[in-house]
Amino acid sequence: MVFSNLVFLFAFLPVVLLLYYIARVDLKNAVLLIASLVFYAWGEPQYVFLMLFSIGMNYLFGLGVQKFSTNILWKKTILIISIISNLLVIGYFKYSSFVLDNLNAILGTSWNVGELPLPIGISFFTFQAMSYVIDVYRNDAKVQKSLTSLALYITLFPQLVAGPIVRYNDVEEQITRRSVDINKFNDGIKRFIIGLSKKVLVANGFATIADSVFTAPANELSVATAWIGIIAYSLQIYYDFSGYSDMAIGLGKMFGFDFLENFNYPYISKNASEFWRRWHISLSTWFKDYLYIPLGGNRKGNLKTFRNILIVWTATGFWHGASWSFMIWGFYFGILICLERFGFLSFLNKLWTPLQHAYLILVVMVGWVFFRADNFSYSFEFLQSMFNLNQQALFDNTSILFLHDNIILFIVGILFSTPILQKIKHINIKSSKTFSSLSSFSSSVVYMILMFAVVVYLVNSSYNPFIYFRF
Amino acid sequence: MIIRKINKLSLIILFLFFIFSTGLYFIFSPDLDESHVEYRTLAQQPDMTVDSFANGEYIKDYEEYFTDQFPGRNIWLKLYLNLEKLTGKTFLNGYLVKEDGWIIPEPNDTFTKHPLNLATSNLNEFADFASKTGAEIYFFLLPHKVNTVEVDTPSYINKGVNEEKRNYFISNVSKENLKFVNLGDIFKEKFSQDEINQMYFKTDHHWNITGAFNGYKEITNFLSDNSQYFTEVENEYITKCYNKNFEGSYNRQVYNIVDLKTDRICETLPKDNKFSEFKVSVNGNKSSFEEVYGSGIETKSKLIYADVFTFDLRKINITNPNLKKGNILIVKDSYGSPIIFHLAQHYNKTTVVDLRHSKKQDLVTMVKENEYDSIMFLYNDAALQGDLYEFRKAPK
Repeated sequence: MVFSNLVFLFAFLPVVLLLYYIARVDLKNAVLLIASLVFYAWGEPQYVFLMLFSIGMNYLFGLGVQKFSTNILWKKTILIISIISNLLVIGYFKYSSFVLDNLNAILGTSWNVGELPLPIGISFFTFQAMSYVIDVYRNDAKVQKSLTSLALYITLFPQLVAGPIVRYNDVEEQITRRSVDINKFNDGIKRFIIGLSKKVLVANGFATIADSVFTAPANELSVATAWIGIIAYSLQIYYDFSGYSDMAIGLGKMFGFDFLENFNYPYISKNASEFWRRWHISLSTWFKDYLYIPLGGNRKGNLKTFRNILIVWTATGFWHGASWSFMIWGFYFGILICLERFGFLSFLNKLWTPLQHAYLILVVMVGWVFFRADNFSYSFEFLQSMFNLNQQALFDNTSILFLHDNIILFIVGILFSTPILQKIKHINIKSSKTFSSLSSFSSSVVYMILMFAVVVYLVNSSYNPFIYFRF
Repeated sequence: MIIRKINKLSLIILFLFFIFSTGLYFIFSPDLDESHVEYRTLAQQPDMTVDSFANGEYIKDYEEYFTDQFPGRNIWLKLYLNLEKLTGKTFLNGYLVKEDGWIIPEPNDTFTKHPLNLATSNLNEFADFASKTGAEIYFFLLPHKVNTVEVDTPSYINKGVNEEKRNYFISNVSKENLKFVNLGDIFKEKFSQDEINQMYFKTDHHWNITGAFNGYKEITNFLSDNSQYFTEVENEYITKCYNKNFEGSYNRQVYNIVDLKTDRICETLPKDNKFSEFKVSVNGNKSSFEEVYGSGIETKSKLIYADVFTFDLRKINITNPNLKKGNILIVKDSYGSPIIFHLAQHYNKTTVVDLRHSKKQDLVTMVKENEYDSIMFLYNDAALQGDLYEFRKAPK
């Protein structure tokens, strides 16, 4: 199930809220666990068993690591087995087709694993489960003796299918002890509506444009259409994913959880390194803590730092999808971050600030071309169209139609990808108590208008896929 | 402090009231059968079985059911349309709606040759077969609104591929065994663009009686020169118009955003009421001209094209007692509907079929079993593929 779905909004959510708030305190986690399993089963019923298997497996690994906490060899062995087991699960379901296709191409064989649908959210819940065992191993968290509590951590429906990747030590305490008051519930609703609006009102609009452009032959696109397409996709992926994170954080609050932020206006960054500190923060910090630092981080000389960065970013790309395009996309960011780290950043910092922003936007958009396109040849042809190397027109009717019909969407999309609202909020307006009460009430009205607008679009539109749904 | 708390509570109350009340309303409100605007049946509550749940079918069906039966769905859909209009979208639900009431569909940019090849190959094959029975075969390609009407549209709208498709279709039809007439070309030659525009409904996808009657006149002009089974008939006609609301097919899809009085509904019939003398049967059951043609004019306050110009019926048999010769089979789509009685007055027997609804009998069998003197196709030039060209077997 997804959040931007009428069944979720008007059937699942009210029922779960009702049951959760009428349940006794000691039954609240059970309500949430059952709700989370139903939520997952609603999407792909058969894979609920896979998730239960993953929970059981990691529960035992956690206990094992704890049991041998004084025996380094056993403790490490169990950790390694747990990592391998988790990677095998995700590898089988997500990467086996890709690996076999490549082996077949090299060896001339014809192995295949048959039709293997990717379980929803497998990358998220597997990484969460791995982080639990690693945290227990590192003594960053206590072992969870309650299977229900661990199951709740892994399956918790607000962040189950598209993150943010919640690390065990971040929510360890909240699983057993959390509270909700009017402020928190109110904040949760606001955040949820914002996320829902980002997804339905903004991201879906950009998706229509991007899909239309990216399904056309790349070498026939006018320069303007190609740029409109990639700008639309850049905004789509941001609003889609950050919207989902907002909804997750908002829903979490409604049930008493505080998840960490996952996005911090990434498009206002001035370089690729900063971009990844602002984009999908939970993923980049996961890779930093559980891969980059264990590999040695930047402590073992420039060459090894260079190597570690490339490994981490290629893995980050590969995490997004089983294809060379995703790997190259990750590798591309690895190279950029290395270049910035070894001198280019100091050059960038001397440039006029708008130029630094332009650099970041350009390199990110070029990266998104590889991310969005189905294959390399399409990516290269698309880039040629963007930079007028295909001898196509600068403008055509398609580009004018896109601009005419979506100018408001682009303005809204670009403006709200910057912290403009926060800046406005910080302007100190001297106002009377009545005015401030009125404005507070009117904000409730604005949120409800957004909610109505979302329903208008949801009822009308069957176009509602999540980009990050399959990662 | 208290006011701030009340304000916070207000959002919580509004949000919870909205999701709970809508959910409850969904549970207790009766399910609807069909959507008038979308012209389709609405999804009904699916039955859950272990299998259907396990393979995800139930979930998919339930979500479709939930969306289709969502409380106040039409209101939400209409709101969507207004929001789209407010944000300046060129096309609303796929239609360009002009201030003067013209509704033009978004041009189609996809040209796939395969279905056209299939249609023309079927047509050529049928003509080859039917010509061997000794029947005269005519194919009148009637000018559809999208290919004929020209109104000012924004310069950035692509022309689409309709003309290309039509030309491809025409070039692929073998003229060896059938006489082919493209009425669109004749209209363009004889009438100014303003006159042509007057021949179409602004809010519907059909021609109006002016267009249809001009089409009829061109068809009879051609037949009088080319057919031995056609009998000339002298008639005086009278055009009657009705001051009723008309819900055009395009307008319905944009929630009647254009005033229902924009199009005037008229019919042109013989002064002496001659069509009432015809013996008529519909799908084998006895009927009458009045029951078939203009059946909704007196009874309905809001008319659609079919209320005036005959619904798309599977088979209509018309016998004209005033003539002794001529047995014609007319194969038509809805563009042919306004003139079937006009054409029937030139023959003793007229059989009218609409292949989209002729599930029981295919055309080849019909021609084999009946001795038609003439076979006439009346198809519009935007309907160049699909069921209309399935002659050998009953369409699904």
